[in-house]
Amino acid sequence: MTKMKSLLDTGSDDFRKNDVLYREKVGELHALRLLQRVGGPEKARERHVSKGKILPRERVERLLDPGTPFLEIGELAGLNKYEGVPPGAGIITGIGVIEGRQCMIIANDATVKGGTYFGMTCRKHVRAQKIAWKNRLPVITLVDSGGAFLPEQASIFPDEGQFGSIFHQQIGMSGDGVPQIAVVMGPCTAGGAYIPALCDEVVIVRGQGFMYLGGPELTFAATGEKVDAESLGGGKMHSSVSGVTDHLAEDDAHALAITREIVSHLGEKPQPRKTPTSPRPPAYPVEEIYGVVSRDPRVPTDNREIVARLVDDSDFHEFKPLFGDTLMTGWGRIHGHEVGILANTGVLFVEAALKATHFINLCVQRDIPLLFLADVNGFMVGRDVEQMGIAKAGAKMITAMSSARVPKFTIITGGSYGAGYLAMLGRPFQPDAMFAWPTGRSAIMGPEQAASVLAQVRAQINEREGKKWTPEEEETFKAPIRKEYEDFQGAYNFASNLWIDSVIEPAETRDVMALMLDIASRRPKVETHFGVFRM
Amino acid sequence: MKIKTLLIANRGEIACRIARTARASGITPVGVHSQADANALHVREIGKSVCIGAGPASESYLKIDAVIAAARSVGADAIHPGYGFLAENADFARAVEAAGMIFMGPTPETLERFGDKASAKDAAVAAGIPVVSGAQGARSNPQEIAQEVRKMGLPVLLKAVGGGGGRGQRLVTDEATLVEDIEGALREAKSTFGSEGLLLERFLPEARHVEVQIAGDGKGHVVHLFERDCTLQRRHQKVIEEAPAWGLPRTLLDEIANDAVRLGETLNYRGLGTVEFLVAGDEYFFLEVNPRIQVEHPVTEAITGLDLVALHLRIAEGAGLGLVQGDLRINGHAVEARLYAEDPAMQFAPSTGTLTTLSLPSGLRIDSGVEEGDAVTPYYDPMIAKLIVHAPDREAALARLATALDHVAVEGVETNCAFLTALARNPEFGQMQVHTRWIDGRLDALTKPAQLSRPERWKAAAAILFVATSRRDADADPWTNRDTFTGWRLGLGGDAVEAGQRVTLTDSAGASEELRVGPVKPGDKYTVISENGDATMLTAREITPGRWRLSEGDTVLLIDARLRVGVIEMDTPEGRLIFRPATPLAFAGGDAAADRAVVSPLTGMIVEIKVTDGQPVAAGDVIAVMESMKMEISIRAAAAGIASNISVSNGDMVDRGQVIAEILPSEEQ
Repeated sequence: MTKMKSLLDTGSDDFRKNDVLYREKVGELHALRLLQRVGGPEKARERHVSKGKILPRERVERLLDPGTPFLEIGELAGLNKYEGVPPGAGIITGIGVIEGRQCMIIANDATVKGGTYFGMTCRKHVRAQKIAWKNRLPVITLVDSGGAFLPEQASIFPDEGQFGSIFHQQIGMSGDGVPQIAVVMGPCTAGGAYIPALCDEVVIVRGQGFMYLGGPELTFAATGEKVDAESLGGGKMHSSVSGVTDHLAEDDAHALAITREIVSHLGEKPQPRKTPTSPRPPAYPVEEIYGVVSRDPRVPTDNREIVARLVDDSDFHEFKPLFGDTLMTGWGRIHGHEVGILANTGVLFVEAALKATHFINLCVQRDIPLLFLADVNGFMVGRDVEQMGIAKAGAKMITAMSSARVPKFTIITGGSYGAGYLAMLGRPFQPDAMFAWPTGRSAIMGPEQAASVLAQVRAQINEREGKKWTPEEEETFKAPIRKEYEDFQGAYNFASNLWIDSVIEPAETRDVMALMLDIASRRPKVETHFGVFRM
Repeated sequence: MKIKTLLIANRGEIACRIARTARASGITPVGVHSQADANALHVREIGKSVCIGAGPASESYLKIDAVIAAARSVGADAIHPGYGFLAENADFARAVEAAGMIFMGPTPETLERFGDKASAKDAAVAAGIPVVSGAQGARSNPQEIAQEVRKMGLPVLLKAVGGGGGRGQRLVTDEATLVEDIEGALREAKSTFGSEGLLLERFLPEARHVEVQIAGDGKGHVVHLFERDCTLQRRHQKVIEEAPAWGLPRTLLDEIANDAVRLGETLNYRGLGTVEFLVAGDEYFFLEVNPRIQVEHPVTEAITGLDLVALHLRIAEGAGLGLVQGDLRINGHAVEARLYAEDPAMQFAPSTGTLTTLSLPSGLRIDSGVEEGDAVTPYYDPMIAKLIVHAPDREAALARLATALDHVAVEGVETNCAFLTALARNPEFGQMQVHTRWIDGRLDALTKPAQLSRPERWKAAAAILFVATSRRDADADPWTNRDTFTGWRLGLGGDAVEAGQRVTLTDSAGASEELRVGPVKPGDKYTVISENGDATMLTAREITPGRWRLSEGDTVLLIDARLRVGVIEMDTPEGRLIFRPATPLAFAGGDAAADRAVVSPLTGMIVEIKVTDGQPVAAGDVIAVMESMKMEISIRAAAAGIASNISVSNGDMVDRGQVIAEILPSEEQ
């Protein structure tokens, strides 16, 4: 029991300025989220409702147990990518509770371009499946989609991680015993028909859900057969003749009721393997994080102050506090769930990398989940550290981090650049979930650094060619590079591309982590086999 | 003689109440029960009980030999008849005494005398007690009665000789219906009481009902335990009783009480009895004597501090009264309300069923013969409970009664609770500006449902409780944690309300509404949105288990909540409210669009068509019979409607899946 002591001066000018700026950023986040929550344009929503259908978000709400939380994943996927498509890419994915069991819910939003799949829609669907698979969450898919958005062929059709991967994952998951249920609430044509067809149990809404490989028009064009939609792929036909669907519902609400019943018969619910302690709030208000995070990228944030505001009762058992002090490691609890935290407190040195390796090793040994709080410019460079073998030390840290099979999570709290981004459990290392705060940013290097490096290269070329440039010319060269990196590194760009799962508020981080840690605690333990450590 | 074992030949609250005193006096109580009462509360509470017959009272509680046999079988040395059933039956009293047991009541002779209205009236006259003028003696000749009535002048009350407790009375106010009324009264007297005799009495339109509780040792010592006022009656049935009588001069009341004592003394009265009077202005008139314990005896117990059953046991044991008139004092004021399972909307007809909810307030005396989960059967009196309040004065007592009634919750049967509440709060009753027919004249106004100040607030509160208490306080499991995670979503900042949790609530009147409960905000703030989009903002916090502090704006309200599966019960400052929650999905489910096509299930031959075109059918009706695979198979309608488009006839071969008819919706659908 070591209670962290905050040295923060909440009355300082600095604190106040940080706070004001951060709250503005959080406001931006809320505005983007609101756009996504609303869904498609008003006309489309009205048309949807006038057909007697329930709006997709309401379908999800009605599916969930009353009063339970719902953790949305990828809510800003596709942000600013497609004309007329609000953030979220026309699909709602998230973890919620149905009949007391945590489930992954995937719901097409037919009010957004008919619920068609864009590139990001595919990726988001696949991402939700991956989270479900890893955590063995039953997947409930509310199908109401017009299929692929044809002009987007290249990002939908040919590759791994695109539409076809949805099926591949369904089969793989099913092989691993993860239940999958589809509710056909709209048409699903061609490839779309396979999503329900590959599920364990399928509910279809009479006169509203249709499944066929080719619709009436296509059938007529291909074979000359004239057939109505109902006898070709209606709910009654599929439930009584073809057996493609299992349950015939009279309307959306009925379909959701049947779905809840199905979930209540999925067998024994997985229980947490861990025994959390009673949750306690941090000793220091979480909202103070807004004043802690530095508004100036050149001024580092004191991440100790952040950890003090994320763990229960600000109680943190630090590991090797005097060694490798540019990385803080230690154990605390979030809403009662034990977690091993790695938080940057400077550039990664040899000692810090070795300490991280040791710490990750301990967490694996003790079966404790890992949380990386990333805010790092990268590994130290220079003769001293190279001669100390920083490449070896970094390799050890990355091997440990990459090999660890305990649940592991990343939150980009500040700037996370270059190899530092990777070493702090970057996306390529497949964290269970990865989030960024609105202040989070990431790139190969920072904008100023990128501009300087490229300007230096240009200066060398200039020199070889015997040319010189004025400081003004240099600035003209640097400005667009800086802009490009600024645009790239933002949390929203990462969220839009699904390089992270969500942008979350610092103040809701504990909640999100509690839900994720609980989910992870309900899956079986996986043994870790470390790769070779270069000594 | 000390009583060791007491058989209680009754049921319900009075059986329980007698047993309690018996036990406290060191006497072993034994009950009796009918087959319908095998699991009744009095059986459970008394602990030992003998089954004496079938459900109908005539086959059990009214069977003298069965009761005597039961008493013998348990070695009882005394029988307490309670009230009703055999309590005033002289034959029974005789049979008990003949069996060598003590009958807890007056002598058979006294019972006989008071069982007959005419002889009772004679006894009163003999004791010098004023009686209502009328024809002497009972009559059964309609012409003679009509003549007498015309002589007396209307209005006149026709009373069946064997009647009592308000039953068997008929008021004649109109010359035109006189003959009809007389014949009806005679018929009723015969069918209900087995005797055609009618008494004729001058009717006192605006009288009060005052009765005197007396107790006698059977040797000529009689005391009175003051009076009770039972003026509030609905069709002669007592509704609310109180003691003492308020607003009448004590000298008058003393006079009445002394008359009652004198009547008892002339008859060497034994046990408990009640002498009933009508009071009109400064006149009073003898009505009748109830030679037994009364339903409303608790109000007398409250103001005198005596246990009437204990007093009666003492008398029965021959130990005398143990007190003299001078020992008795009136302390404060007591009021009793009788909570009945009856439906005010159906002329107060008994309402039977299972008491799915029975929640009675605490802090007052409640005599009840049922518990939650018990049934109110058609066999017996549908009383649920008596609520008795005792306060320093009448105003305080009535206020306490009204509050207590607010906090009564009964479900499963209809009750007269709202009616009682309206009475308790009625200003005319508060000023005792009432008479025995006062209720009958304003029944509509008194049975109007009470209005809540802000019904949407309570509905919102119920929705919040449902959402919040389905979750656990400060749980480490975030999915069930109430504090932080109720309705949790990624934030939208500020007070933005999301879709929220849907809860469909059905109120006691059966009206349903779907509400949306917004997520919890810091400080337990909830927003509840009604179907028409109105938002109610409430703060709700559970301060101790089951007790919630609600606030809406500046108004703070404390409520006690009880949640069971499918029921939210809230004890609010405005009364006890009940809502039934259901998630909207529970209502979903379709019988709406069941299949209209009638389809052959196999390939085979139709052997019989069971319906004709245009014939209405119910779901499940056989439409045709076919023969296939050496079996006769019935083809049934999946939905109700009109059989139409029958496309096959006998002997036709049909294919599997062939539509042989359609069931079209009938016009009412």
